Amino acid sequence: MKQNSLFATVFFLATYFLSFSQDITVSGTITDGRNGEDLFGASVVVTDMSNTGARTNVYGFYSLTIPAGKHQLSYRSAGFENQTFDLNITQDTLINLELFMSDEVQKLEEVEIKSKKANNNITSAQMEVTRLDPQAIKTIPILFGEQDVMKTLQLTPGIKGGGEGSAGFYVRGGGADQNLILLDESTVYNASHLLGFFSVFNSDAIKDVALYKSGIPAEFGGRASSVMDVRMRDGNNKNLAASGGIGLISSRLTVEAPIVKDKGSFIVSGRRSYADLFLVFSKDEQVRDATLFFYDLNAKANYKLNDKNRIYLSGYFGRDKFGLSDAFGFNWGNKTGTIRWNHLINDKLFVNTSVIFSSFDYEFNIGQGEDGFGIISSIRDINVKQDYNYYLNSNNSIKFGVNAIHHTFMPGALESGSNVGFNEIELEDRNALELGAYIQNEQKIGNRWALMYGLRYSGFNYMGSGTAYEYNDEGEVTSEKSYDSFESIKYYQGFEPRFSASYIINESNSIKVGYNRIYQYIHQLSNTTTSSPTDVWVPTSNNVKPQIGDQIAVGYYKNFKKNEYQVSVETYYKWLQNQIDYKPNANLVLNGQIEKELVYGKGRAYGVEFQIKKTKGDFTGWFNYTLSRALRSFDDIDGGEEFSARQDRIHDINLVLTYNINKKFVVSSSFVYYTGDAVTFPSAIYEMNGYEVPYVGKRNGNRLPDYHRLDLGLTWYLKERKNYKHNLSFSIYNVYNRENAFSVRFTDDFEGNTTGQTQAVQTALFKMIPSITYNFNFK
Amino acid sequence: MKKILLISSLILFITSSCEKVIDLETSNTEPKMVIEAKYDAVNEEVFVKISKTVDVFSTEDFPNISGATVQITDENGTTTDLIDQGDGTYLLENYTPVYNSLYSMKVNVEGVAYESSDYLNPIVPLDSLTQELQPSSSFFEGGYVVYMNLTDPVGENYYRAIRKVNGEYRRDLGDQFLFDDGFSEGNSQKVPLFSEFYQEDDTITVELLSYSDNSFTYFQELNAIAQGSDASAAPANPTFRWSNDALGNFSVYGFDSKTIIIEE
Repeated sequence: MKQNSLFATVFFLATYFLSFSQDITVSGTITDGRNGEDLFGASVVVTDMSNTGARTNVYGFYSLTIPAGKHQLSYRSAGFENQTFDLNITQDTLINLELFMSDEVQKLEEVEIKSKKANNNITSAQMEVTRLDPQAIKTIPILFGEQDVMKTLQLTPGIKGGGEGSAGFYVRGGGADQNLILLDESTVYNASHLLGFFSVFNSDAIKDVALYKSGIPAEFGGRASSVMDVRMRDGNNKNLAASGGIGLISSRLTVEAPIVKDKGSFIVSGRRSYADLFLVFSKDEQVRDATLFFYDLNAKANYKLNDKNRIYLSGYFGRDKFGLSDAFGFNWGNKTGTIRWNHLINDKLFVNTSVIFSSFDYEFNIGQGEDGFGIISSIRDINVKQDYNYYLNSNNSIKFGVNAIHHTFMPGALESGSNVGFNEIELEDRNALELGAYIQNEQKIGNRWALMYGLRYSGFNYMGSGTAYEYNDEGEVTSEKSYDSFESIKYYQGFEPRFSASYIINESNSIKVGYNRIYQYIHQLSNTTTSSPTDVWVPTSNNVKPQIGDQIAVGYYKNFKKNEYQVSVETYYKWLQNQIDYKPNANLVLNGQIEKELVYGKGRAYGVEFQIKKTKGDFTGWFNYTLSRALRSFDDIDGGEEFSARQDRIHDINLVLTYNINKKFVVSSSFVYYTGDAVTFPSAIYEMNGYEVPYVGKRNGNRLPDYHRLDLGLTWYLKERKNYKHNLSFSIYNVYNRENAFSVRFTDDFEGNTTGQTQAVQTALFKMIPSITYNFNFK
Repeated sequence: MKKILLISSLILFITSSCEKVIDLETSNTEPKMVIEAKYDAVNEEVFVKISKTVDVFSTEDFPNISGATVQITDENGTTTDLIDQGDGTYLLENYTPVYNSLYSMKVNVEGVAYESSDYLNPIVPLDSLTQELQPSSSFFEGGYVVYMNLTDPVGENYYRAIRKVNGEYRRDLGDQFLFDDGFSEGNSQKVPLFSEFYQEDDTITVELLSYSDNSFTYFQELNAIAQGSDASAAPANPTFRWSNDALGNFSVYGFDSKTIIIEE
């Protein structure tokens, strides 16, 4: 079993049933030969039949139906050596294959964003999906040197960060709550650590990230703008391996090993920040007692019972803690858990059944014991899901499935010490059942057309136990009614068509169009512009209607120089219905009648995204420019006049470059520029009660100054030892020390101002920040 | 939230987050009428100040508008004129209150009539003031915290605490302390006044104002925007309390006061 350049194990195992037709089915899984990880999106191409082939699903499974006879099968996955066989296939066959990579290829893989197949962007029906392999983006410079898939996604077209101090992001003019963030199928409600400085995704534990921003497949639903599908690694099933990193702010360690070699494995990955450990050196007692850290733990195990059955268990647990001795405490976190069972009904029909748990909660304390009080709030989901992949024939592969999510919203409770004099408050839980069912076909027609069409049905049952209120226009309660457990208060449903088509002009040119409609039944109310753990999730109810997002997109893709360069232009138009905002001065904390604070409107967004990407060679990277608008209108805001959403950044530019100097050094840089956020500034001032008060003009009628920043990174691969690889990564965030505006305030008493004249004063969060991280892995 | 963010960045050695004056363009609007009107039932004084908005970066003073007709009307329909002081303010003294009744005000200025009204709630007595020592730390210098002890009457109550320290009123924005009984309906309460710490021999007088729901909400909205909570999603002007969209409001209130001298 030598791992020189490639090694393949081919099993001609069993025939499941005798086939009397002339067509036979070849199926199996494709895995990474080094560690046994399933390869998602690897392909099997029948080289003697043009345009015939199959791709693996997220569990590495493929199925291909072809006429019996002599064929040449080529197994491919980017970054791996191709493996080609000449076979005379006369009956249904199982081929499980491991792909390896040559040393050269391996080097390349660490510095590239992989496409699934070199020219996959040209030939598949799916509209452009932004995929990241955490291994492949290691060298891109990032704040504090902590590799972060979410921050890197924000360097790609159409995906905009929420700004510094925020891990929220916006996709094509949609809201920050319109992105479905999944970790092994389970919803992550708050993807940020340390108030946005980090995301919750520990790159060491992640296999693959795909972000769908248009032509969203029917298997996904529930958020109006995008799906970010994060898959955890399965763990090495060949041998024990460990990897990790030691940085200034945080460290991480991952251990993985086989449970039974080639049959099952586990992975455990942990991370903790320790900036607050330095506080013990402070002279001040209260600073010494301050806490500020996060930790998270990813764990996953899988076991292959036999060739037809495999089970997976995975979980995530993360928490942030912030406190100032006994005076003040604030902590929040996500918990998720997924149990999955892969089952092969026959060699054409694959089914996965999942039971998923997900929760998010936050807790806020002021004071301690009898002199203190605290507020808690949470959301909890239990989700059951079944997804089928049916490989009808080499031209049609069908997906269908069902799922049901039970949501429990706990809007808040107040617990008070007896000396405070507050009454205990516990707002009623709110319950809902979200249902989904879909069917979708991916079809090839001739050599030029690839189609993906599907339909999703979604339903939402807002139900008891609980009280439902009706309000008049003034926000006064006009009626209230109590409901029993599981008694329906209001049911909403909708059909969501999904469609993508790709026309292949030739090997290196293609055009794609996509359309999707998505219903969104749960909504996030934010009382700040930055994503905050205290943002409130509310269900669709008798008062709140589901958000509906429709989007059409058209793209043109061209590859040059044997796929070395990829150029794309995509344009889109998006309509958003039943958008939610809240009334001026709304109270979102511990408000049992939060719906009376809300106003409803609509939105639209449109834009064009240009990208040029170089994917091969020592010099790689991409440049993209997006011209776009994101607009909203509400009858109750400025008389229904259309206004810019905060994220209406008209111009947006990203440039990411990576250069392999030699085997030891890789340098990289990233540059970001975008139009300042749309915000509301005063248009006049007046005097009340002896102080100056701003009189604000139209909603978001003003702009923050434009944002731009350059980051640099250097990765130094230290001398390898047997089974031990390590590197040092240096990065400088904000190299030229640009002070980007986090916020602007208007004041007449800023330091040095004696004139009494009002001035605009901006706050910037980050100046230049250097960092260093030591990374290692061994096996 | 912004505070947490800033402290976080501080602890994360993100040098200090930094502030500087920048050049910005703002859109200007036509000057709007501003009417600040209040009836202090304890001192039996009605006070009105009329002014206008100015541009954000204007170097001019706020204009004082005199020559208006200002009238207050009680629940029985009896109307009394305020006296124009000639400097944009209008005054009426020795105006006897009737608690639990509605007052309305009418201002005629530059050919437009502006009207508003407010309800005079009964005074909630302040039982006592007490002190507690708070040790020093690098986040704040230590000293004595003053607590208000009061019994919240049944029903919705809205308060503002105003402090006079060694004979001087604290009138800064940060000293505006508004609270209601949303979490403490009908309870005996011990409410800390955290905005300042005191030293021995300081004399502190606290006036506990009882507002109507309407006035309380207005001042909350006003403080929210005046404090420029710039991390809030969308700053909003207080809803108009005057007809014809003049800014400002008309509030009527009584108060109880107590004094404490800080002892060791």
